[in-house]
Amino acid sequence: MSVVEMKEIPREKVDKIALWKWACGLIMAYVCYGAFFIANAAQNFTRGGDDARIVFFHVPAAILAYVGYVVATVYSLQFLLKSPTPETDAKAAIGMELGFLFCIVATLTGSVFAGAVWGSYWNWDPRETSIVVMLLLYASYLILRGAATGDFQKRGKLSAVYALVSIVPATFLIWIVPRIMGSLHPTDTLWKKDKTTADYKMVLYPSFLAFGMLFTWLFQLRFRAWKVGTRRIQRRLRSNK
Amino acid sequence: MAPVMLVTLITWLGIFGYLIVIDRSIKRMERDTRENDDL
Repeated sequence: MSVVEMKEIPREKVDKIALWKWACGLIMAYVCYGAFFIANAAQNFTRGGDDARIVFFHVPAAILAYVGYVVATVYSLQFLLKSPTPETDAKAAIGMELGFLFCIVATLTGSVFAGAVWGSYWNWDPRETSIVVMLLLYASYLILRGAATGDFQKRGKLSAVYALVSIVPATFLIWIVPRIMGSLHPTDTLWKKDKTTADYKMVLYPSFLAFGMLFTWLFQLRFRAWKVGTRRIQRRLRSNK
Repeated sequence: MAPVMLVTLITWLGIFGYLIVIDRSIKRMERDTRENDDL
């Protein structure tokens, strides 16, 4: 395994947090406020339109649940074709971990939303069934990867192949199944003009931005933590020799 | 609506504060690891 390189951090910059991370905090705080005081309660809901406000957290989380897969696939391809390094392998695994995290958030918030709009927390709607399969795909990757010990190159290759193969059913389940089978979920609300009202747009679009920043931040933190941990293990192993 | 909004906001601020602390801690660990490597 090649040595993981640490970048140099000047002493005065150790306690500084990048501006975009503060911006993420502020925008998400605005979303928390706007979800309740800028967006109006939705109409025609079984249990009252106030529950619809969870959509500002559910939709970005559901999109990031798929983005995690895309990130993992990109790094898996890079691992197989270009640079089979521990860093690339770790980035692919972190994409999967974050995808799994946001998949859980999307499932829980979606269940609350379903209870409000369709009167039942779980309906086995095509999109709900798809997300259960997505959760299983993510969990299988993480469990199989955790079980594969020994040679890092072999584990990296197996993980990368799994990610590349499983993005096919993941894409089919998330983007195609709900459209061909007819789903309780609307499929064109976000992309067509006049489907979303101005008050919802004022909160939903900043919410996408804040969630995107949060995903980037978590990805960065997880990768840096992995780097420090790996570097320390390598040093210990070197000193034991 | 205000109490639910407050719970949501406080939860986010808690997560945000936690991330800031973790970010700083990792940065310190990165610096220490780097300095130990140089020794």
